[in-house]
Amino acid sequence: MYIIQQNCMVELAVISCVDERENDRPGGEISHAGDTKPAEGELLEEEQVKGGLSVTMQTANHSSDPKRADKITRYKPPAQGTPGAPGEDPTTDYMNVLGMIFSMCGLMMRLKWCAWVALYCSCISFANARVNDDTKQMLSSFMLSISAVVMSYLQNPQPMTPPWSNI
Amino acid sequence: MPKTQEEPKITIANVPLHLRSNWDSFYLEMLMIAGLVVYFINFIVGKSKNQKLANAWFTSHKNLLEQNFALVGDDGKQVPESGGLQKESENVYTLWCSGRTNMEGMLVELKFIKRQDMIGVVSQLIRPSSDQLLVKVHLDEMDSFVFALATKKTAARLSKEMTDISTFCPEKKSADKFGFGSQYVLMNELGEVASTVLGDPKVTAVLNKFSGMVDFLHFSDQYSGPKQPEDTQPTKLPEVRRALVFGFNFPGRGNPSLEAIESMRPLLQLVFHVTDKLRRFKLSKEGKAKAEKNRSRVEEAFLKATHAARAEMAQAKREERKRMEREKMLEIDDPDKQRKWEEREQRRQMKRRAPKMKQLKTS
Repeated sequence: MYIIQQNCMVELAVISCVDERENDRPGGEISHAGDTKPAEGELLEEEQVKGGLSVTMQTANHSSDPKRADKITRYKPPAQGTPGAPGEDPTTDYMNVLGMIFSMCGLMMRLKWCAWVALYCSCISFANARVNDDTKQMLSSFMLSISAVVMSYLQNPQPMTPPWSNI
Repeated sequence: MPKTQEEPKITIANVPLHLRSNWDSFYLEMLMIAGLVVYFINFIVGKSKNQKLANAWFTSHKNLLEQNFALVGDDGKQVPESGGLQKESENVYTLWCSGRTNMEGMLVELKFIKRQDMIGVVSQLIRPSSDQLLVKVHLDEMDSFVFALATKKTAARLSKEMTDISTFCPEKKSADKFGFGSQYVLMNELGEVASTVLGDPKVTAVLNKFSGMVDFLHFSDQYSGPKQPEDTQPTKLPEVRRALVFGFNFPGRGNPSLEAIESMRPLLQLVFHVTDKLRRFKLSKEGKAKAEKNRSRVEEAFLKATHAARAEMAQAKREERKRMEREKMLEIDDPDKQRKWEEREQRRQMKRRAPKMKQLKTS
């Protein structure tokens, strides 16, 4: 019975915590009706009194404010290419390579649909690229695929025959 | 009837195909161009939607972050100017926060669905997924243990990809004991950690309330990220750090509303609560001994496995040194010195070639 009651209270506390967001305490303490544990500051005080230490107001204040301006460490972005780094996505590289292969096919074998596919590959690669990725590579991939399309239509200005029509 | 007239001869002028004003035959090209236009429209729309969601998350959590951190957002400049989200790609945003008690820093990663890429949009229709929020807390100190609680699908991925989980706690246990049903799977090195984390009423309350939104919790003192690709044989253990990683899903199954994002604040509060709790948490004597034993066992196994590779490296280094020495000797003009060095080298080689055996004294 007691457990059920406590569970209800826990549930209520969470709901109230969602509703009363303005009253959130710093430190991310979730207000909790069923919890009988003392808060962090009180705990500290108790322990220190037990140990025979004097408690100054400053430490009590300090414990309630979690900010530490002297503990700032700067962000070191992980090296590019490490798996798990934020924004790391192999799609860009795959599409770059695929685009290159298709443009080559389009240019060498005069396959129009290959040139078009290369253009699509460059677009996908561009959409998935990281912000600080190499723009030169992106540009060259675009230029190559566009030139494949243009060249194939200059050489043979007939409409494209889809790859399945020859079979 | 006699043939009076010959049939008129019809000649068709050979007009090149492309000069005929028949645009219909270019229907495939039109289709391709239309596809490209649609792709770019989708790119712009998806990009701005992701940006909007990221901003909504940041504005709703800014207060809480500023109450907890002295530095919110790092733009990489000498003196951080514009705090706020950093764009990594069109669907990934990061936020670095630092200057808080108990931790070195916290990296928030907002991983949205690839709305800017049409392929991502189509795959979302086939296999729906949701936007993700990853919070990585770098702790300054914590006891040694590895603990992970994850939904079934994520648990399989984590145990396969993460180095620390696959080495320290590969077996998956059910989290039924803590009242989470079959939804979550527990991967745990030490039993007492699970009871500390999951026995906490605040944690259980949040987990029950936001059950669909908590994807995984991964606490480890041996965190080194995902495994390196198999083909590169590492010769030293990967660098590890103490980290608490929280993976949350955005509500709304791929289409979160602004109010729903607002309701995610208790999740960030949970992060702070768990961080402070685990920073204070101390293992029992037996637990500590067990953790130490596990770590030394892993290190030993690693050293044994890479023995051959390391021996090879040492051999290569030795040969390089010898080669350098020889080159140096050849450069010297003194023939006497060279001769002496050659003799010495020959003697050394002979010694090495001679079979090693003990001399038995025969009386």
